[in-house]
Amino acid sequence: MQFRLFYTPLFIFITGAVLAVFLYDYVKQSQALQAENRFTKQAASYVKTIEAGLGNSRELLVSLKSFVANSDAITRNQFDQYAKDLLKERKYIQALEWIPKIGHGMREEFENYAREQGIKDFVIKYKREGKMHESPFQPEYFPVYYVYPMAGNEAAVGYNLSSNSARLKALMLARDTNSTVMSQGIKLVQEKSQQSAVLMFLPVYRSNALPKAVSERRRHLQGFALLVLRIPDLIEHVSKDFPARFNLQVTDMGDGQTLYSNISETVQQSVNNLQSQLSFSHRHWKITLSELHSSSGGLNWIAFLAAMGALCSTSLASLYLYSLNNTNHKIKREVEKQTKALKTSEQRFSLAVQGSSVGIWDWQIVEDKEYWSPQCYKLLGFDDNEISPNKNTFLDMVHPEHKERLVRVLKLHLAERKPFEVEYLLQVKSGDYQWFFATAQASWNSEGEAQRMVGSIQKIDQRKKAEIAINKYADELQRSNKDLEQFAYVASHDLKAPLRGISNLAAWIEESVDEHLDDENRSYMSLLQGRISRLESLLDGLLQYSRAGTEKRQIETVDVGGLVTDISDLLGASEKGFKVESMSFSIKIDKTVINQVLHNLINNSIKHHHLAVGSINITYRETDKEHLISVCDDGPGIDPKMYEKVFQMFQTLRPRDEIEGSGMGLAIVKKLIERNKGRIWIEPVEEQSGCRICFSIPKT
Amino acid sequence: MNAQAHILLVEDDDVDIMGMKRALKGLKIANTLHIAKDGIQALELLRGESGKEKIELPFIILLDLNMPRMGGLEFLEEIRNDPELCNSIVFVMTTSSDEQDICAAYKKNIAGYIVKSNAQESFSEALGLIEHYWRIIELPPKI
Repeated sequence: MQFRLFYTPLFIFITGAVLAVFLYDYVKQSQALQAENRFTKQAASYVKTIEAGLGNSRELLVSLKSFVANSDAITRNQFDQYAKDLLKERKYIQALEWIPKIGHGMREEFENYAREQGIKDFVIKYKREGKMHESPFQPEYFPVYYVYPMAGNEAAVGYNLSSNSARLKALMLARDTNSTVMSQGIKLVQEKSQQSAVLMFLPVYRSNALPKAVSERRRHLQGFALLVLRIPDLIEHVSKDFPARFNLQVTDMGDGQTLYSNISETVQQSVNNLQSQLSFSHRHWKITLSELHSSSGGLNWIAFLAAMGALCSTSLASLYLYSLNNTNHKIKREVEKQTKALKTSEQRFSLAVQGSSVGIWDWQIVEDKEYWSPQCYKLLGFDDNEISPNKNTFLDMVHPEHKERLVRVLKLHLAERKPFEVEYLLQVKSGDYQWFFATAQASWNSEGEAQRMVGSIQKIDQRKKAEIAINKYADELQRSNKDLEQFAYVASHDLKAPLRGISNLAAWIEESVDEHLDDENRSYMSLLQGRISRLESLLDGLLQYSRAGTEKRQIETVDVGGLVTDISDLLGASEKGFKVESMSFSIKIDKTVINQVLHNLINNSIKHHHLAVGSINITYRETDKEHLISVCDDGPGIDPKMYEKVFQMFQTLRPRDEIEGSGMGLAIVKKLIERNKGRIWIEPVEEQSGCRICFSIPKT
Repeated sequence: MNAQAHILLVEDDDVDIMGMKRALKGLKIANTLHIAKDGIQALELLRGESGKEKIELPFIILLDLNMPRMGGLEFLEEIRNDPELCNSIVFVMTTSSDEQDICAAYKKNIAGYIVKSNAQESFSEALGLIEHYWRIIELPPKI
């Protein structure tokens, strides 16, 4: 995976590297070829230049010959003068000489003549073991006679050229061919520097004749014009104006003598070299040329630069490709990662949808396309895709009475983004209407247009039906309670009127028949009045109970301590021997409620006390949430078994004939407290008889 | 004073009517007593309608609240809207001690609200109070 990234760039890099090597080689070779061509041309031209130098010297010789041949007798001065004109600055010419042919018979005469002419001790000489000696007999002598310049060439005067066989051979060749002959290389005797030099001879025939046959030439030979040429100086001279420099070696092919070489041994063998033959005046030279500065061994910079350029560009290309690949790879990986995350998320959603009892729907609003999850169909009683999932199909299923509300909630959500939560009845496949709960959330674009809406439906049929039933029961219960209260009110109210009539009539009867009544009947009348008043008090209690807490509540701050004093005065507690004490405190409450509660409780404590004197204490404490008030007396107390029962209607602990009471006091108190969301309970009093009735009032 | 004042008792309970009569007798009040069994009858008497003789001024109305056909509160509404009867003196005598009834009655400008309590003496006490009242109070004059 990771390596694939490198494949192409690596391939390109390697190709580039190979290409660079080839390019280097190619450029180097073409450079070499170019150099070789250039070298070959230049070398050939150089050889020609050397040849031209030789030719130039020969022309001087030809001029000298003409001068000598056209003069009957030339004096040394004349010769010197002419030679001087010829030579000018040509330093590479060692000397111009005149070599006369002297027969043996003329030897002595010639030697004498020469001495007469001023050449001291003139004899014809030859060279043996490096030294000059007087020449032995020869039929013909070719002594050096005129020499220009004399300086440095004195030793050569008188030297018989024919004394050397090789020289003689050259002379004879010149004589017979009437042409310039160049000799093999010699070491100049005059020279200390031991330069190689060559001699050029040109025959001079008598009477300026131009003999054709060899025999005639031999007969008419008068002597030779001679030119001594210093080869190194000549080469240096001609090289001076030549644009290139070479390693050069000039070898005479006749005797293998090296005439010139500037090749030092340290110079490496050159790639480009040229071997050429230079044939001049019967002499054959081998000329070996090579480049002075070899390019083969070192680095070829042009080729190197070209190769490096190629390498660099391919490296850059491969780097670029790698980075491109890398980026690509990263993007690919990121895409893979995202795809995976998306897949996971999708799977999660899908599993959630499958596992959920909730049906999911997705509405693409703009395209008006819908998707319903399988659970959606299942909830509606259909198989997957049994019906087409669209808005109209759905709206047709909504109960006619709920359609308008649903559409309204939907419009509010889409337009004003109000929460979409709605309960409605849907007609499922079986035709039954069932309750569903729907929630949804739309998404809007930047222009605020709803684009998409995703939501769920949830079957809440059982819950909703139970809720409806409970609500129905609750309503019924409320109505029934209300009916009961109304009944109690109406009954107590309406029953009181006839009771009053009975009471009145009984009183009137008693008045009318008073004097005729015996004691027994009188006691009956008294009992009748007693029962009438008990019934009246029961009806009053009932009326009070039914009305308790139905008045409009008026919450105010009530000084409870003061209220207790008022109540105890109203009840005449102190006259009856009771001490009523209260902590001083104020609470926020409906005054009529607290008044009635305390009134009933204090009244109970007084009425039910077993002694003629007693004390009643009202205490108060509070918690974060409640006021806690207790009314504590030192009366007979209440059996704990009766704690619950005493709060019921018409409950009395003792027969009404002993203590008259409606049995409604605590029931009314309980109802009032509970109407005010408080609690009431009874606690026993430790260390003494009596009871403590406690109640709480929540802080508002 | 005010010996000529008529008393109109608007009451549907015969026993209460008897009780009122007994009380008047016991207190030796000789003022003329008119009886109406409900609000409609009472209005007829006050207006002299349906062949009834119109009660002359001055008069005092003793009114029960719970009655058939037209109750006490409706009757009060009627007379307060009647320009001739709007200044009538009305005492409410009823068994209802309901605060709502009391408030509603006083809003109709009654002279007093007397609850017929359990003891049979209430009639005498109430009438004693009323007698004191009209002995001291100047009633509106005849126009």
